[in-house]
Amino acid sequence: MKTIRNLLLIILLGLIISPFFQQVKAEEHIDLYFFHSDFCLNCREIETFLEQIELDYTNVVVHRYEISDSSNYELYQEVAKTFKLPQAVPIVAIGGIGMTYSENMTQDIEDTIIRYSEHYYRTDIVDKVINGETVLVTDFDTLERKTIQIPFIGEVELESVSILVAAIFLGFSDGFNPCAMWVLVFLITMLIDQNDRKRMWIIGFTFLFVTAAMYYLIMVVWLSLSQFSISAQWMRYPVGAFAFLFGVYQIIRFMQKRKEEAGCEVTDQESKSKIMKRIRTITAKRNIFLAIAGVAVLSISVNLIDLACSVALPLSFTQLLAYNSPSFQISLFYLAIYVFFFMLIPLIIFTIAMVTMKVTGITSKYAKIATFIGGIIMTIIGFLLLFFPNIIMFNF
Amino acid sequence: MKIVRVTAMWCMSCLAMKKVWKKVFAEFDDIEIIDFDFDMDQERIESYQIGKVLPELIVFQNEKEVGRIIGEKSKHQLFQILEEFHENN
Repeated sequence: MKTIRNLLLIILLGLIISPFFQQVKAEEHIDLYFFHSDFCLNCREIETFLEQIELDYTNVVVHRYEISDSSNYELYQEVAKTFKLPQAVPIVAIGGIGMTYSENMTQDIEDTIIRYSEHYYRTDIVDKVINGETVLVTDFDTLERKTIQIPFIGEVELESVSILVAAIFLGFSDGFNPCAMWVLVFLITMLIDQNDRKRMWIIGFTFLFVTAAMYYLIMVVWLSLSQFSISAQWMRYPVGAFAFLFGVYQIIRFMQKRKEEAGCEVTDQESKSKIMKRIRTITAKRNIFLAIAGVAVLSISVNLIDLACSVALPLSFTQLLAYNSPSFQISLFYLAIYVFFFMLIPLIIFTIAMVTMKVTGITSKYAKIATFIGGIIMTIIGFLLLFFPNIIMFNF
Repeated sequence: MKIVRVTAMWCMSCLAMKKVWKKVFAEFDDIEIIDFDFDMDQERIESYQIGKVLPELIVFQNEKEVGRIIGEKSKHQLFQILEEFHENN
C-alpha cells in the first residue's frame, strides 16, 4: 500500500510541476547569426525582418556581424565554408541550418525559429566554429522534410512514420516482458474457476485498463520531465548511459539463459504468494464494486513490477519523443500508440481466455527473443543518445 | 510408468505445455499422471525437492525415480525422452 501511495504521489507531483518546466523550456534562447554588409540592399531587407523577429520571438538572440570588420570577415568565411554556401551576404545561420539570400529567406528563417522552439535538440554550428570545435556531419539540419507515399493514407512525413514505427516496435517488445504476465494469467485462472463471464469481463478489463492508464501516466510524466531536461541538454547523458547499460545487461542475460531449460523461474516466491493471496481475496468478493476497486489497486502495484522489469524501454521512448515531438498533444498520441502495443499481448491472452474459457500460455521462447530484441534496441538508442543525438531526431 | 507433474497456476510455460503433454502422453498406454500444484501442495512435494524451473516432471518406473523432465519441451523432444526411459528400464 505504501509503495502505491508513493507512486501516485510521484505521478501527481510530476503532473503538477511539468507545466512549469514547459514554461522554462519556452524561454530558452535560440542564437541567430546574421552576417551582413552595410552596402548590401538585401541585407537591409533581412535586417528589418530580424528586428521584427526580435520583437515577435523574445527567445531569439540575434548576433550581428558586419563583414567589413576583419575579424568578422574571417568568421564569415569560415561559416560560409562550413555550410558550403557561396560567399555572398546576407548569410543567416541558426542551429544546424545556414542560408543565403533568396526570395523565401524570411519565411525560411521564421520556419527554422519555429522548428527550434518546438524541437528540443539542436547543435549550434556557428558556436562550434567560433570555439574551434569539429563540426560533424550529423550536426547539419535541413528545412526540407522527406516524405513517403503510404498506400491508402497518402503522403506522410518520414519523421512521423519513424516515430510511429518506433512506438509500435518498442511498445510491442516491452509488452512481451514476462515479469508481470503471471499476475494476469493467475487472475484469469481464478476468474475462470468462478464461471461467471460478465464478472470476468468486468474484473479482467478493469485490471488491463488500470495497468494501461498507469503506464501511460508514468510515461507522460517522464516525457514532460525529459522535454524540460533536453532543453538543458544534459539529460541525454544519464538516460543514454542507462539505456545502453540496461540493453547490454539484457543481451548478456539472454546469452546466459539461452542454454538453460526454458520454463518458469521460481523466484521471489514470498511476494508472489502475497499477490496470489490478494487475487484470491479479490475474486472471492461478492460485491462487484469491491472486486473492481481491489483489482484496480492490485494493478497499480503490479505496474511497479512491470516498470522495474523493462524501465529503460519506456524511458528511451519518451526521450526519443522529447527529441522529435512537434507538440505535446501529438506526443500524447504516440504514447497512446506505445501503450496500446504494450498491452496487445495481455489483451490477446485475456480475450482468448474469455472466449474459450481456457488460459493460453506463451512459451518462454518468445519472451526470451523479445528480451533480446529489446536489449539490442535499448543498446542502440543509448549509444545514439550519447554520441549521435541528431540521428535520434530522425533528421533525414 | 508414473509421472509426478508439478506445475503452478501462474506459470505460462506450464499452460503452454498442456497441449504437448496431452498429445505425447496419449501415445503411451502405461502412463499414470499425478498432478501437484507448486504453491498449493507445498508440503506434499517437499520431498521431491523441486528445482528452480517449472514445470517439472518426475518420472518413476517401478516406484523408482528414473529421471526428471524440466521446463518446456517440444512434442518431439518429450516423446524421445519418454521412449528412452521405456527402453532403459
